[in-house]
Amino acid sequence: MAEMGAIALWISLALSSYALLGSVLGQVRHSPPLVESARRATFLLPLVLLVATLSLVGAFISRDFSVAYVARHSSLAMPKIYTWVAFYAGNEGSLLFIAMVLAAMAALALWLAPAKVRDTLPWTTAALMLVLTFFLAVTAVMANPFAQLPLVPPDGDGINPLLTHVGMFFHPPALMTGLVAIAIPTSFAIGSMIGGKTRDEWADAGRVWGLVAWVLLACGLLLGSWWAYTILGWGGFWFWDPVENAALMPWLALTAFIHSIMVQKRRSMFRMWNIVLINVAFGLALYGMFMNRGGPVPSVHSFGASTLGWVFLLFLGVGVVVPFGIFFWRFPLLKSDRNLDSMLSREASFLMNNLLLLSIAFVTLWGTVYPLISRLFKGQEITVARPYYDQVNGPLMLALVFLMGVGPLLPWRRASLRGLRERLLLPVAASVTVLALLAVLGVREGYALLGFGLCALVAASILQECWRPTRVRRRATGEGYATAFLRLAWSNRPRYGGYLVHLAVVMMALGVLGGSFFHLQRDVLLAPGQSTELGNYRLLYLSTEEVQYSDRTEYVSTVEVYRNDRLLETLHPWRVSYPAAGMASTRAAIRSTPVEDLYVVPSENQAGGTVVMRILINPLVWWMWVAGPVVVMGTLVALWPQRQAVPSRQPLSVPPAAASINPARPRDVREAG
Amino acid sequence: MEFVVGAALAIFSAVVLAYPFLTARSGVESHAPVLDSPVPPPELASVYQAIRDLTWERQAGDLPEDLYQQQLDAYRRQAALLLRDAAVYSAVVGESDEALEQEVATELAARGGQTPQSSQDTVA
Amino acid sequence: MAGVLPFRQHSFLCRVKSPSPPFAKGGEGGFRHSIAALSCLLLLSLLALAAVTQRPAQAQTPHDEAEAQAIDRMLMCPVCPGETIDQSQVELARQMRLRVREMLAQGAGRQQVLDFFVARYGVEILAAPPKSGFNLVAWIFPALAVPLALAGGLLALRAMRRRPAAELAPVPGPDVGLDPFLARVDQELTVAAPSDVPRTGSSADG
Repeated sequence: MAEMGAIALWISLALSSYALLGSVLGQVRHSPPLVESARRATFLLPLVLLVATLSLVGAFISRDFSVAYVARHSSLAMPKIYTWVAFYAGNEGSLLFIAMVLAAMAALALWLAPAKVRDTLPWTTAALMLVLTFFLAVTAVMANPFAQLPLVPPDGDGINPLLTHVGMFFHPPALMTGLVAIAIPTSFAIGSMIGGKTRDEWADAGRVWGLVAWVLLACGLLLGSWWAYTILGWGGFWFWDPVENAALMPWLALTAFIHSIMVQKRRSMFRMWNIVLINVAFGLALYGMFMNRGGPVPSVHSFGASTLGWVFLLFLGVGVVVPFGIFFWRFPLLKSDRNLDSMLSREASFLMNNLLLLSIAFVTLWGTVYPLISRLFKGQEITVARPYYDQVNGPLMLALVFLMGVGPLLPWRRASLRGLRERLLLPVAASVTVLALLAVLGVREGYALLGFGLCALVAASILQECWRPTRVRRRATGEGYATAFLRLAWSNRPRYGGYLVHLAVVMMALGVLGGSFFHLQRDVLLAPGQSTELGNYRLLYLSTEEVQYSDRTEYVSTVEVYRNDRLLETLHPWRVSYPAAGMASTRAAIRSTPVEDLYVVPSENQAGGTVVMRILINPLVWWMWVAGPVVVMGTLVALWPQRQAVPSRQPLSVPPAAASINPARPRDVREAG
Repeated sequence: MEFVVGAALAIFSAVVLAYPFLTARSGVESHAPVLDSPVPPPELASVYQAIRDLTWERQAGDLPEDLYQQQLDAYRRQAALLLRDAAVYSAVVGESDEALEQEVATELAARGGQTPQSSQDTVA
Repeated sequence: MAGVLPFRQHSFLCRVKSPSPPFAKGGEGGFRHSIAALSCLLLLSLLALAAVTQRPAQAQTPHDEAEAQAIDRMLMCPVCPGETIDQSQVELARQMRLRVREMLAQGAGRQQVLDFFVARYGVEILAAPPKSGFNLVAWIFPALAVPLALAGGLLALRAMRRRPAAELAPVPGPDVGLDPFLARVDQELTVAAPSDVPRTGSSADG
């Protein structure tokens, strides 16, 4: 198996180098066959890489411990289902995985590319293949997953126990795919710049692939949080770990991009800005990979740490300098055609939202690099962790939520005076009502009150934006409310998909606010039969069952949960210890309801069945996880292909009257609109 | 066995890559760029989209009637200018007939003293 | 009811104001001002409410568990990368948590507890850089850069606005020949979206 994989890997490296050189040379020398041949190489690549991938999977399944990577990341005791996880448990496999998904998405993107960008497609191909060649070269030369051991060990080292979790089946692949998918819109932008087609040709492809990368990253981040929540055993889901940040930052930049690209699509504005945004997102994605694959900052993600750091650092440098170099080279071509009509317009609010998102990204970046700066200039070790980010990013995020409530109320071009005031009325009223209600109910956290008030503002403004046009349409067409709303939403999918995502963001905000400000936590030592109380709950600890396996010992505890002396549920949190690996892992038992989560996790098992339990009540965190599917749904709605608003492909005949007409100079044409 | 599969993969790839060169040499397929396809300019779609947005916003009650009418006319006019541009361009470029080209050019010069500029020139 | 989290500090709340909405600095007319005022009013009232409702510092003897947990979250575990002692389940973290509670029970304040651990493990034991000395840089950068970026955005928007906007101005010159193309535009729009046919009222103007 391993030899075939290695051969396929080298063939794919050759293919991607060929596709890179072929599309550049073919374009420079005007050789259509060469360009076409290079294009075919991009379609061959996923196929060949699939062979490589499958042979590694085969090696895992057949327990071929002669392959070093298989020996390091699996064992005879490992259930076969974890092959999928073990595949990317280390650098070698994850690099192969990244190359595979990049090749597949690149082929798909090039195949589906709209006619508008066809002229510049060879340049886009070249940019994509440059990225792919880098990954393949690193995989083949420095971190070859098919490297063989001189002596075949009888058993492998086994998989990292922290990875044996459902979340791990999707979190790392979603993040890796999302990060590398940013290369696609970036390549469309670069292609259009090199090819000199700097009008809005690339905007459609850029938006679609930007959204794809965005939703993948969003899923990856949410799944990662969920994994941390259930397995790390401390009761939270996000703690601004350097590697979490590394995935969050490109996602923030992409969020800015998918908003701003709408302005270009609709209004032919922000041309330069969009290119800057996508380049920034790409740079941050490369930074994220650098942190993940060989980063210098300690984090809980030390699974993949390696000596690959400097190579990724080099590529990060190239990935930032080259796109921006091209941008400055083509700067004169990127001028927007239209002016801003009003400071009070959706365009303007999008720009502000972009700046806020970028601010959060860069403040976070600053936090992750500050320890290095301190080490460099002061020789002092400094930690920058959650309290810093909470303090610095918290207000920015609240401001962003505020904008999310007001922005959608602003129409394109120019808001009409009376209109906006009328439309702000209901959301502001809702927000104030919620605030007053919470204050009366005894909520005394200033920050949280503000947050909930803003959430109400956003939710009310979205509902109003659904209701108002529905009513207008119903009056005009006589349709029922449901029909009118659905037709309306369907006819403007990007907007209503976006609203759905905004609602999901509100849900997440609820989870964050509830979990951060209103959680109750207690660490208690419990002997069997003892009980403890937290909030309205009484927890009765019954026993712990110890189950021995060949490689691990599982401690499954039984805890009964009572409220008002009524048995609600019996929970089974457990802990596993892997003596060989010197590791332990926990699995919290969570009684999850929309109101609050009751979270029970054993943090230590002592002799005689005594156990140290951490018990938390996390209000509203349920909403956080429900938001995930809503984000995906909203993105799908927004991505669903829109019936193109014409223009028909019928030949443009020249009416006799027009053939002899002065074609207005293009400059005038554009200003006329 | 594994090497055989690997070699087969390599040969298959090579054949696929070489195919465009073979067909190009035997002249089966021409890859010359098609200049005269009168594709509507890409801006047109965005103008049409802008018109749909505008209509939608009016339906939703976002726009006063006068502002709507004013902007709609501006967009329609812009779209028409783009179409006319493209039509004249395809007439100029598509026809190899020099006489026609000359005729159009002189007409243009006479009309406004402007050089004939196609919509594709706007790229630069 | 809730844990006293470090970011519930007063100075922090005040900074919420800094990202002013894009229209806060409008140039023309009372409308923009009223909108700006409205949104500022909203923010300010929330802020005022937030400030008023700040919880008073809690009594700290025998020991306040919420305060102890807040301190736990401000101290890193020295042996486990990236985790605070609140998160970590290793023995050292447990001992440190105990120490925090002992000190609180003895009447020590938050700062004293933190100082104790800094003296013992160095300043990197703190989860956030202290707001003093060179480390102020870590805090000042965002406080300066973010308002600057937003101000830059506002300036850019104003610049985009100042350029002569010809969009709606009627284009001078003959456009007799435009009519067939206008007709085609209308036709294509009709074909594309029968329900959304725009009214082509004053088409005479072109």
